[in-house]
Amino acid sequence: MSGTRYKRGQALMLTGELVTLRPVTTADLPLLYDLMRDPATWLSASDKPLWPIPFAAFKEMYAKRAADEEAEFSIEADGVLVGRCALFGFDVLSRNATLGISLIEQQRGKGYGRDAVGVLLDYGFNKRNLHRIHLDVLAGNTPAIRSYLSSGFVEEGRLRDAAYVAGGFDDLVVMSMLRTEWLARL
Amino acid sequence: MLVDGDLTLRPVTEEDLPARYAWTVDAQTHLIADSRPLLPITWERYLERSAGRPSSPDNELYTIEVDGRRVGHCQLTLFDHLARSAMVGITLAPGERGRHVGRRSVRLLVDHGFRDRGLHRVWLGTSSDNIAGQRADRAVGFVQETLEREQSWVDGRYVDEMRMSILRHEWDAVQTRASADADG
Repeated sequence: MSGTRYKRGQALMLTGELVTLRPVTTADLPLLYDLMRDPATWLSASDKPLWPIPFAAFKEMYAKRAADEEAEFSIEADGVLVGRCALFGFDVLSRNATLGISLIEQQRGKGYGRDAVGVLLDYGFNKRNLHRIHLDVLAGNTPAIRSYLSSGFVEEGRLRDAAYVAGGFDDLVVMSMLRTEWLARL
Repeated sequence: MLVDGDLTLRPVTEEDLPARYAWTVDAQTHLIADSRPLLPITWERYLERSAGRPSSPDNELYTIEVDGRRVGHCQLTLFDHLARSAMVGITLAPGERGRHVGRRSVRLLVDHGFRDRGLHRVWLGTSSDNIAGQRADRAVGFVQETLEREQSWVDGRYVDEMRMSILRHEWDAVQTRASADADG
């Protein structure tokens, strides 16, 4: 399903069927900046309320993620940047991490998200020896929930009114996949 | 200060630190109270670490006293100012469990969170095998929301974690019932 190309002098590339995950470059930042400021995806990319984040602060945020050794990737399809995804919040004792992904609006519904999630799962379990990968997603984001379920994630419950988005409270759906479940799908 | 009869939640002081250090390095208390790995941490390092996480409006730290005797500590922390939520945490000294000090302290924190901090939701996380803790949390009015499988490595095995919460309207209903019971 996915593989690793890693040549001398070349950045880490993780490939799926449709997408390639690669390091975030400076050239990606303007488009990723626009993606983050989309109110529909803000919450999936930030733990702060929607605010007019300046480009300089956005760049600092990415620099900090790199410094913290979060696994932040740009997603490319047919040579075009289509979004970003990450594993972050690594717990080295319990061997788990959180998965996050945001796609540029025009690139949704093409299977890129599901393919990228598959590549990230392979990276997390195979390359990073994780035991569990989890995420939370807005209950109102049914396309994402459907996609995560089809990737093999299991719903573990709902954090009631845990998010405030677009004028009201919404639940956060907690989902996870265990290493054993991932292996059983291969 | 949050007070319920003989029970008081008061601000932490420097005099509390040796007792807090003792609970932190006690393996049994640690496993219940701390999600970080158990470390051979020195007193000096503990002081440095505590200084880095002082009590603040976003990290309310309390010492729990019963009749003036220090029995544990608790906190209201991880404030989300957008969704108006915060997390409750509590640690009781070994030997102080099983006497409802925990649930009475959590009640005080929950009431303070809704009444003084304008919260919409108060939540907590607990290990699924902490049956006594869950019973106490349910008695306060917390509702189980998740069962997070094999989330934590504790003493040689994976354990499930759960998150529980109480919403403002649920706490209001608990209060109304309590005052009706008192009147009736």
